[in-house]
Amino acid sequence: MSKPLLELLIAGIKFALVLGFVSVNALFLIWLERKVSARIQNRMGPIYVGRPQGWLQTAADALKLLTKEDIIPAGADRLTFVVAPAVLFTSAVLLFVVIPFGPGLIVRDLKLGVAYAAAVSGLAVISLVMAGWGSNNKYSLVGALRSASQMISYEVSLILAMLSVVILAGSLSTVEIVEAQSRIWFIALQPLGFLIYFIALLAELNRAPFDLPEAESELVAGYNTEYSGMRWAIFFLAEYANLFAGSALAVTLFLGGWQGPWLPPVVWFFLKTFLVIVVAMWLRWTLPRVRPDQLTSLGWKLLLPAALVNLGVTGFLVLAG
Amino acid sequence: METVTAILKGGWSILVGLGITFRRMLRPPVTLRYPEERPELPPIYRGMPALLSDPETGELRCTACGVCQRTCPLEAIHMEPAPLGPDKKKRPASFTLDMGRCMVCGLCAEACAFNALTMAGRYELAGYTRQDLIFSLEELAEIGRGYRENNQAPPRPAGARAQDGGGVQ
Amino acid sequence: MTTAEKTATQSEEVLEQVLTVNFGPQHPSTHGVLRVVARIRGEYLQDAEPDLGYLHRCFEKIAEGWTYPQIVPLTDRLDYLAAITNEWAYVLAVEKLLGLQVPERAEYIRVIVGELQRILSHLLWMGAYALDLGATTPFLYVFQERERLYDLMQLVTGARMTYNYLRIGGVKRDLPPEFFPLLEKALDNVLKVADEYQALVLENVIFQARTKGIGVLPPDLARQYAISGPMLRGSGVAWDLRRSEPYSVYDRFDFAVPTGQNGDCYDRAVCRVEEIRQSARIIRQAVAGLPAGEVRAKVPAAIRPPAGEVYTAIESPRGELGVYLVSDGGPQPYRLKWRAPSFVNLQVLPEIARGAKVADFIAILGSIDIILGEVDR
Repeated sequence: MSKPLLELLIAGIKFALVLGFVSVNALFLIWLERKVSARIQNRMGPIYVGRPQGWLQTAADALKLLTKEDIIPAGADRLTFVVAPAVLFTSAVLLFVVIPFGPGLIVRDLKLGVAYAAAVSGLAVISLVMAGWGSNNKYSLVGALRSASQMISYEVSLILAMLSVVILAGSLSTVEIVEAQSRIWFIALQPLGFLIYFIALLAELNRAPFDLPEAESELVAGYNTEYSGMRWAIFFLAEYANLFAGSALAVTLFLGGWQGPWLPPVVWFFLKTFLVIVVAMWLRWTLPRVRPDQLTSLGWKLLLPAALVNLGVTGFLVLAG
Repeated sequence: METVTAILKGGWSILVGLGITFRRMLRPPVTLRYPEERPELPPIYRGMPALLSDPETGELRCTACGVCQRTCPLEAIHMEPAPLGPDKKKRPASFTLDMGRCMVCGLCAEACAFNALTMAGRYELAGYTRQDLIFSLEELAEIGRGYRENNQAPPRPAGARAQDGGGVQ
Repeated sequence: MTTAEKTATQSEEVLEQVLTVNFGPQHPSTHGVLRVVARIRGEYLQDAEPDLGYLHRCFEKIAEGWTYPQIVPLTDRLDYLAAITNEWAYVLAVEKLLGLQVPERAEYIRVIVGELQRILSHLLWMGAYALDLGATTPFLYVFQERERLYDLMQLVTGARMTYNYLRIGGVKRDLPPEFFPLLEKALDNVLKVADEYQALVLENVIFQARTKGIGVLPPDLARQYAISGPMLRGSGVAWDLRRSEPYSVYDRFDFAVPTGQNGDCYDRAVCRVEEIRQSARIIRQAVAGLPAGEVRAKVPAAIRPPAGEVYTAIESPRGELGVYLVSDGGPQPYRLKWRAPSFVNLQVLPEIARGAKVADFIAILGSIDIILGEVDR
């Protein structure tokens, strides 16, 4: 076999592995979210399908959703409506390319890994706008516009917070960033940066308290009001795939990635990632939702200046040695 | 300075909230896993009406006086008296209860002067057809026999009978 | 024009356009089957008009065909979260027509179950309001306490929501002895959950940002619209029928009437949470002072009040619940008019929602505390 063909084959296998991992992991995270919320609310959560803890519930739900009738509303923009969930899922899967699960366990160690991650995660909002526009529903449209306005308010701070880490590590490659944290995790050097990144991450993932695009008490279900069955399931899976990818990126940038004593690196990586995820879930089941303009004002008036100052100070300190 | 205190206070309030939900997380679930577990209902719990029979003779206590039928605001009860037998006792020939109409208010049981009709505490009232919701004399008597442990209705306050007997004039 | 340009201008048009949006009758936060026709421009609300009638059941007309005792269970179905207060307003009107003196013990029992009912209703509101603002968890917390209180109500009345407990001339039956220790424990828990709610929701920075200065109802406007209940008290008017025009035995209890200052959603929320604490105080006093005796007055077999008309009003959890009852001397009322507080309070929605943001609209609607069973009757 020639070399490019072999590489293509290996890339294909890696891609299939990532795809399988993303889907299974998303199903697990949905189950986890339901269990965490149930514990917080003194409920049981799913218990019947897959006893004793209902661990097969989400798989059953996914199967049920796959068999449901595929409804495209009359007057919908068919192409955008159909493509939107796929775009969201693609953007979620693409993020996994640069996530280092362990030493050597990365799909592709890009030189511009962080920049790539920032660019790919920005794709998600296109899908939401497509979904909102394509649905021909007013609630969906308002939800889509909200997600667009939300994106411009947090994206800059998110990237600035990532940049301060890049300055510290002196590299845009995710693997090199993790290796640069062998002595001290960047969260110790960048507590403010981590806070900014985490808040902006919650906004990017459309999670409470920033779940404005799908605010169900206001917009019914926001951009995915008209979605049902398989397409809705893909939205849902992509949401949780994004949650994992975003948290994994937070671990890579701030929490030392796979590094840690005693346990194998992969275990450390997953432990940290799930910790970040559980904190995000905990926040979601504690806080009310902010208003769109409050998020914008938080993004521009608080996060952005703080991120700029953080970046400036970091740059100065690194320059000064 | 004010902004900084506001931010700190806001952040603190979020931490307080997280603390509360965390403490709640440590408590066990309060869920009652119906139908595997069942609630314990007080004896006066109403549920659907049923006919009571005398625990000794096993005979229905109903004398077909028709007060329940007249008291029911929703006309859920239809009762026909039987012709007098040799023992000169009045009995119902038929007694139908339409649970599709019943609102479980309990006025019929209160009005009954012979303690022959009671709210039997049964709360699973769904059926697959409307016919399932119509209960005959025999079915009501059967439900009443299953209600043996509470066969003695709670003592009624004075004046109750007089007032609730006054249904449609 | 290229396709891209065309799409761009089209989207601009849509953005500038005023969208007419239906909130309801099926919508997650219309609290039943309320339909609100809202005209929004972007995130701003230009106008909101409530459209009623999806739950209309001809209550007033049905009542004209039923005898006086038969109507009591029917009133349970109006404000189904505060069934006792409905029964109370109705039996009070009939008793006034009859000139009937209710035994003192019955009055005290009515106060106890009535205030329990107020706590139950406010607890649900607390949870639902947090839900409106996107916080799911407080809803489950208040429901746990509600379950315990409903168990108590069930112990007393034999049902969970539609009690049919009050009778013309008293109450159906006396309080069982096992009720009192359970009540004491349940009240402690309610106060605990109220404090928890205060820390988790009322003092939360996001909740305050969402409710402070939102949906301001000035006292003058409130008076013009005949607003009552926590809505009015949130605007700073200390008007509570239990204090201003005491009915039953409310003049014997010591309790505060909480009021707000700004008349915004936040003040209404604070008022309701404080009212729970005051209701617990009233219940404790009533249990301590519970006199012995009958729980039901002697009432003739067939109730035929003398011809005439009465108006009675009590303070329901939502405001002034009025019953206007006309008798022609027959066994059935000639006319029964129900002044439902949430129906009256809902009228002011367009006034205070105009110019608000869509998210604020939900906050404002939730703060009115409407029950559609009562609004539509």
